[in-house]
Amino acid sequence: MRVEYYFKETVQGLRRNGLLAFAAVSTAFIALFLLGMALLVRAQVNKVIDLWTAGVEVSVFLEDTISPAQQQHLASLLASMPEVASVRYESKQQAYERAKEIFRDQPEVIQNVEPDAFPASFRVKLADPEQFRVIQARLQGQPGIDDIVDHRQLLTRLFALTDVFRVGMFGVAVLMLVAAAALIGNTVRMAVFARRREIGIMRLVGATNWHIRMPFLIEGVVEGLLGAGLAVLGLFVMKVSFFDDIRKTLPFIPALGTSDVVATVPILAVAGVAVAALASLVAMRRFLEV
Amino acid sequence: MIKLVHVTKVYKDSVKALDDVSVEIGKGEFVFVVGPSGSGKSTLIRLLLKEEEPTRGDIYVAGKHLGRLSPWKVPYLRRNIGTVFQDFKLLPDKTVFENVAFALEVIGKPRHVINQRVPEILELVGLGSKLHNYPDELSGGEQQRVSIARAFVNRPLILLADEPTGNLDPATSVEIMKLLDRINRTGTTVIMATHDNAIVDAMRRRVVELDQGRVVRDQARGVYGYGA
Repeated sequence: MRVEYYFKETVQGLRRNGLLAFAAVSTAFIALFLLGMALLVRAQVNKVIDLWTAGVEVSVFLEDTISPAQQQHLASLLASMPEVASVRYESKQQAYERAKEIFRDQPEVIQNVEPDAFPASFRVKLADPEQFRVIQARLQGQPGIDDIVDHRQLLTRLFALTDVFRVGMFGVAVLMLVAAAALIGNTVRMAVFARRREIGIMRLVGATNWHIRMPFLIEGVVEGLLGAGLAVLGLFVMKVSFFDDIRKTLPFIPALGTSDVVATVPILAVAGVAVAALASLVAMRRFLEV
Repeated sequence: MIKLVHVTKVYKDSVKALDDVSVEIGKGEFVFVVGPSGSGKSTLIRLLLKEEEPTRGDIYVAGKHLGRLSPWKVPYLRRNIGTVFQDFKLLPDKTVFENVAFALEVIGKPRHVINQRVPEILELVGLGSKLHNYPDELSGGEQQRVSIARAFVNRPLILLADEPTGNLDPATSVEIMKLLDRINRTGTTVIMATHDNAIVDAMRRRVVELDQGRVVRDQARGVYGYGA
């Protein structure tokens, strides 16, 4: 009976405020879509970082011809350096497995690559990431080393750009969320105004504040949820039409999978509901004091 | 049932609506509150519903000290108080049945209780045949009966009526008074603000007269004015 009552009230309210509700839902949609895009870009960047660094700052790639004694010597040398926080040996097979994991959504990329094609390496985590040059100087001239790569420096330059993009998108998303909150607050206010007679009587006969507020709160939250639902839909369209294209043209960049889009769903839903609920409650506060 | 102790209400523009009013009303009493417009009758009713707070003094309703009643309990206080107004306050897009049912719905009464009690109470007020009419299809007297049915359907301890006959002709007013009298005989305390002297004189009930916010008369079996 209560559920039925709330449902009826919500549908009525949304219909009564048609145009305003549409504006509120659209704004919430754009805001949450941008938020979702920012999340996806971050996920994409993280994937690339993972591919290249696996969480370490320096990779010391070894020549295929390195002898076990040389390798042992290098390991103990690295372990004894005060600047090194941890060092881990990654065999050719392990490198292959890691690549397989990263490209799990695109098995065709490494299908024809033998584990032997991957170089073995020491993966080094630095106590202070700024110390790369010191390490490099110390390792200079040691036999069996093919290359020493400072991932951090590489990535810093590369991702300065994507960071601007991501932060910009996030900023616009927040602005749009504020606009969505204002619009949702407005639809709620209109709904309250349209029903002020009923509200007056409800108060008179002893309806609780929450009972009076619930239909309006639900109305606002439904608007937020509709926005979130549309945003998720938009992200899937985006994934299919944009991110999947990246996968085709740049096969060596790990592409976003469906699971990455799905991972944004709870975040967008919670953001939509929270913003809408807050906006609705603030909008009602002035009108519905006992 | 109701007790006001040295109650003063001053509005923001320093208008004294009530000035040191002390009144005690027992369970089952029928009390007229009379006085000219602006004498404080409506303020008194608003204070009893805790729609407003007194500036000074204490108010007790149904055993509760209103000043110490937390806001979330106010709705439960109001479930003990039925209210009837001059302008009926019916919802035009709901039928007679729905208007009365609304009062039970919004306090969460289950459907089967509503379906049983609403026709019962509408029968009691003499509208058993108009359940599915809309308010604008009814006469003023009939509309006021609906509003009384709505106020009484939850069996409140107290019925507050603010000028319930203000919009009605004398013959209809008498019918409404008979109805309020019947409700009073079920043990409900009835407090009615009015300036309809014919009704007050005819009923011979307790009269509390207000003038400029002060109680100038409290008479057990009174009439409207001294001269009458």
